[in-house]
Amino acid sequence: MPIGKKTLSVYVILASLLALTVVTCVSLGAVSVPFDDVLRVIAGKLLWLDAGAGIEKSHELIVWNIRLPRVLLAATIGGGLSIVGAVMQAMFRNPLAEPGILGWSSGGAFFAVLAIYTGIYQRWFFLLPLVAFAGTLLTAYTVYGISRYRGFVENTTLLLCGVALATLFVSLTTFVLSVSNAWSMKEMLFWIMGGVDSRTWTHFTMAAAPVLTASVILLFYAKNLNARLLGYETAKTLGVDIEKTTRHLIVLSSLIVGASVAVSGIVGFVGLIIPHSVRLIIGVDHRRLLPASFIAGAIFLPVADLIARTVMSPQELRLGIITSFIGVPFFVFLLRRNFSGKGIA
Amino acid sequence: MQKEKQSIKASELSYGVNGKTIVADASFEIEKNEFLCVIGPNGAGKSTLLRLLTRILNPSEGRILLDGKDLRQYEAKKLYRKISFLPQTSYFDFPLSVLEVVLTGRYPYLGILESESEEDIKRAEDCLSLVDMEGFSQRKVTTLSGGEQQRVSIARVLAQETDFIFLDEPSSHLDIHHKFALMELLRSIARKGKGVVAVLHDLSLASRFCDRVLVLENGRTVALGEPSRVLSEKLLSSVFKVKGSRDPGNGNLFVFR
Repeated sequence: MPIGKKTLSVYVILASLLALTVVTCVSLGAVSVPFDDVLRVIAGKLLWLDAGAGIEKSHELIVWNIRLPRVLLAATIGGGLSIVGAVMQAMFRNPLAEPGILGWSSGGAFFAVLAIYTGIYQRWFFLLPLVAFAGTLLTAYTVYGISRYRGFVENTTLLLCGVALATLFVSLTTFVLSVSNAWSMKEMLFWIMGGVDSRTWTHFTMAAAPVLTASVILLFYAKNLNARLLGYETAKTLGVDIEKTTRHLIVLSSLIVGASVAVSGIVGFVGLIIPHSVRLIIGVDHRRLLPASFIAGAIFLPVADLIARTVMSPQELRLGIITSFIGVPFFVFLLRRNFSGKGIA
Repeated sequence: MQKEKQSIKASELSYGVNGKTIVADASFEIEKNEFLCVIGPNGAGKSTLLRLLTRILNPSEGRILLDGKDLRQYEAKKLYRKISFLPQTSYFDFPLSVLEVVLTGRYPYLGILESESEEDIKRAEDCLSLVDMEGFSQRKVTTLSGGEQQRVSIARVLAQETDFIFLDEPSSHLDIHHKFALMELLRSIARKGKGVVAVLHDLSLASRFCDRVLVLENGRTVALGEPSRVLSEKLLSSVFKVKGSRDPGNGNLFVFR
């Protein structure tokens, strides 16, 4: 169907909100930098103009070196986790599927911790996200394999198995951290209750390259995902190669989740909150849902991070705590709705 | 050179799981312009047979030729422009609109980034009116009754515009009026040159509307032919454990026990 007026206006609103969010989140914090200065610093750096001239050095440092990479990283991860949530829910025809709940994030985070504390991550720039991707993929296939029976994925088994593996990988992460010489409570909290604090341009590049690439490729599977919503047999007789494209979808989604957790630890529930909210506004068709979920997630996570670092200022809360606070009531609501047999949204 | 007849030809088709045979040695030919009903008691292998004919499952033995070419040799999209399938269960857990569901029937014709055209939308709307669902296109499927959802699924199958249409219990959830309307629709589609194959439980309906019936029992083909000849007193009592009598006026079958 051609893009309708409503869809177009939703995109325009989302895109403007995203730009506004980035500038606001860079501007606000322990030290507030005026909007004006934020824009001038960014323009100055990006366009090599002297727009940034005459701004306090400390403000320039805060904007360019501290907040902007942090905010952009949050946006990238928020977008990535949201698009993956939407994909997983359609792929498994399960409204409760999400990288955190199905254990994918924990598997990826555990492998990332292994890569860091064995030191192998230093060998190549993208090795850390790559190892985390391997961990995510391994978890994804384990959960999928266990819950699959004669081509059908059993929904309850899928969720329970995911939750069990999530617990296992969090335990393993804690174990590795506690025997490593880098042991500290802060370090452990970083991985288990993820966040984007003290992240730099390096972390952003490391995550953004795989997340953006995989997200764009996922858009090619939009109709495939629509067909899957009608069930395995219907999708198959609409020309969907279920087995093959499930592999593609799991690999692409794992790449996004792996790259995200490698730099930010486990940030749960984003993949649940965003796609379900977006479906209410824009509908179920994945040709609209996937891009809109990405942008909405890219708005949501920087805002959640802004709350995390300002609400108890000067102390910073973990980002994972904020998303859980919003996500768990959401999860319970969906769970109840699911049991009432009404389906979602 | 002789042109291959447009038909589906199954030869010595068998399918088993874990040593248990579900469909055994089925051989038959389905032609365009016929309405064939598959009947049989529960567990006779009717659904499995349809899954084999639609390549959801691959036969353990035997083969299926579609227009003279092995079913397995078709590329998926091309195959499902020729055959469509209504499964026993359709899932409507996500609030797609009725139109969006019917338009999925056009997917085998669309490229990976291609959208449905105005013509596709028109075709989908036409299919909705065929199943008495016009005016429903913007409704969410999650808000419909079971029978309405079933009719949307049937419209989706029709929108696929295939030569052969397979339906597993298409009349389930339908009220008596729509049951008859559906049977008339399927028969008229067959008259327009399509092959229609439906699994049915209602022997009277099958007998009244179908051109031929295929009777399955324990995976074996017991009989195949015109309903008036095949559905004899003897077969009804041996396969279905029921008695039957025909109205001397119009020949309608009445089943009881």
